[in-house]
Amino acid sequence: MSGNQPIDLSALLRNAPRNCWLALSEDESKIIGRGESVAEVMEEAKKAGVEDPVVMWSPKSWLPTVLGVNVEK
Amino acid sequence: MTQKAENALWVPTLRVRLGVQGGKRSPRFPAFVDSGSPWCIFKSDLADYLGIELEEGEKAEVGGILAGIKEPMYFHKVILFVEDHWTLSIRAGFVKKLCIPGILGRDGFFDHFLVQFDQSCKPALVQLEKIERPN
Repeated sequence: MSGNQPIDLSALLRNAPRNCWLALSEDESKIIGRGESVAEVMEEAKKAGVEDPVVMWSPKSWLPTVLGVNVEK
Repeated sequence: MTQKAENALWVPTLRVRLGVQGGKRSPRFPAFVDSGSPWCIFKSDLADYLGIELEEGEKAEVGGILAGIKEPMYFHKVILFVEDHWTLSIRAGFVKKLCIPGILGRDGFFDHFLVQFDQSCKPALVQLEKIERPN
């Protein structure tokens, strides 16, 4: 079996902008951009000189999801 | 990934990308590994980025464990890149109001991997073994 390398994002996301896409540095240690769309956040990453960022949606609030189908109102 | 580290809710995730045949690939993003979901489901912004016409896909509805909330979901064929190591052609649902980037569910993910969770680690560890079988 091969495993992933788990990364603790809790500190990074605690004060991150909400309700938008975020771009993280390749090692996921820094937030390097935000945007309303994936294209926009990729543009921000490119401006920051990061070619292969990790992107993620930052919801209005972090809530536990059950059965993975939590949706935003 | 919650407000306070001492109360953090550790969620098993993998870094994945989506792509379309002969077309664009998405950036890497974290997807929740969720055996409770019948399908792989992604936020529709990713379909927009890949140039997929969302509402041309097969329409379904998705809801959660709590009654009442239902959202339209559209299925499309995409390529799933798991941890930049495995490449799978899958049928995935796209939902506008999904509050996370993506979910790796039973159809499209768990039918390709033996999955082991180690929730005693913080953050939680996910281990994968690809199921090799003839097509």
